[in-house]
Amino acid sequence: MAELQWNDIVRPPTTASQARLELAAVCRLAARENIAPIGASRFATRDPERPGTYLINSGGLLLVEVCASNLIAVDRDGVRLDDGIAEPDAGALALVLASLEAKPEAVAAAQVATTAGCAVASLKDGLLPITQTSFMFHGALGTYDWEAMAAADTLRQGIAAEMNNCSAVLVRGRGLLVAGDTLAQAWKFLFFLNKCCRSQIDAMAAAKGAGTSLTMPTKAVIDHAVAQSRAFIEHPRYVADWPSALEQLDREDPSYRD
Amino acid sequence: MGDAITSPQGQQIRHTSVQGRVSAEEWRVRVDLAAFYRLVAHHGMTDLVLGHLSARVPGTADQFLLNPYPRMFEQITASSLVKVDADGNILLNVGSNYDIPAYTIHGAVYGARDDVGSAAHTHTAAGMAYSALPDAMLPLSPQGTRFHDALARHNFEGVFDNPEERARLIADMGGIDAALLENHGYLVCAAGVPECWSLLYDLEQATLTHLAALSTGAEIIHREGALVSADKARIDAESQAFMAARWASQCRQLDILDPSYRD
Repeated sequence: MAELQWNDIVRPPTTASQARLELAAVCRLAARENIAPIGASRFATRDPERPGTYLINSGGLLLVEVCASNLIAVDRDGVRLDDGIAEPDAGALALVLASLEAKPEAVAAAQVATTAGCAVASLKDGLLPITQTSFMFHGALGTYDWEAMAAADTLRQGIAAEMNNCSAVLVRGRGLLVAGDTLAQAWKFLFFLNKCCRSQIDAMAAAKGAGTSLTMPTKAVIDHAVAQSRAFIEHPRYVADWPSALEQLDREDPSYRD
Repeated sequence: MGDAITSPQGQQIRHTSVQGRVSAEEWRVRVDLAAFYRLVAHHGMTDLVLGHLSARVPGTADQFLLNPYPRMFEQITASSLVKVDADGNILLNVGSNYDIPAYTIHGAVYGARDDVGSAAHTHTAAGMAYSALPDAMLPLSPQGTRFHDALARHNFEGVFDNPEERARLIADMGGIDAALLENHGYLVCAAGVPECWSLLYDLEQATLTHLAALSTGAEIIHREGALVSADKARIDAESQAFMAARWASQCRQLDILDPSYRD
């Protein structure tokens, strides 16, 4: 077996302009993959030049409208730096900001109320270990009950507890919450978690309709696949497609850079 | 690509054409395989950069072409495909990479099946859903009829990077051209790229109908076995008769959308 070289390491942005460009790219990629419910998609990254400041997509824009310059800078409470007014928020913004505060190593977070994500989050058994993709998250997926009336610090503590050893949380009532060490990793967590939720919902509906049981690997196989998937996530090749993804956006619609 | 993140403007890879460095037969297969990647993307059957399609290098026993991981399928061109041998050595486009499970899975098929010229492995949302179901594919649609009693099954053993799993996969396929990789996705193989694309596309369509029908929970009317067999024979015959024309139509579609797969 030949030895393959992985020289291209994707790293977090070091400037505000790069952080803006990459967060806008994540928003466009989500739109491109139909992970973009209107009014229920919030993305955030740290401003590398201003500790304690976060860059977010405006709640009033479609993800296909998001670009580097129309991202908004907010503080930990979601208050906009330019006008001192709190960005209107039904919860998604509070969740992404809480996840970044809970995980100092995380650079970017996303909270999206996808159909499949909300559906799986509502299930008592949550995400089932029935697809290879699910093993990226199996055993490392938090669950959190969204409470609209919770105090900000209660929310922060709750998310911190769930994200202690996890990079993804199923939020009951809100769907998917992910945090990544790079913009690329946050995007891939969001895509893959949503993907295995879609498959699970389709599989469960068909199995229920047919009166059959889902095929599930043995615990030994699950443990093995989970270990393999963790190693994959930590390997540079997990996010090595990031330059190719940006190039694809450049080809299709480079306005995310504006 | 080393400084890709600090200057993403400058990292477009332009492979110089390899057309003059390979046989005419290999070039033709390269164009077809690049078209296959573009079609999988066009029809929404990608999993970002995971999954892989391959083709045997004509006239060789153990060389095959793979995607240059981690390029998005939309960007794959005839010249950018990586040529790999049975030991995983890159023979052309050194410096590119490939996905390790791609080498393990596709190498197994080419090593065991002389009749195979192209293979494909995908993880679509529907395919993954069906991969967790124990039910046999029902002949509810023309596509489903095509795979009725013609879909092998292989148990999930983990991410496919273990060479020892190859023999078990080949044994489970037992000469059948389409397989459900349980808890994972699909694997199809065929004599050439057009036939392989036809299998992969039809299997996806079959799956969508199968899932839709089962999800109703309602009673399904099963057709009589002899009728299904006769139906399958007609569908297979028509599929063969129109194989070249349908492939050409797919390529015309790509030529309108973006002909750069031919580069």
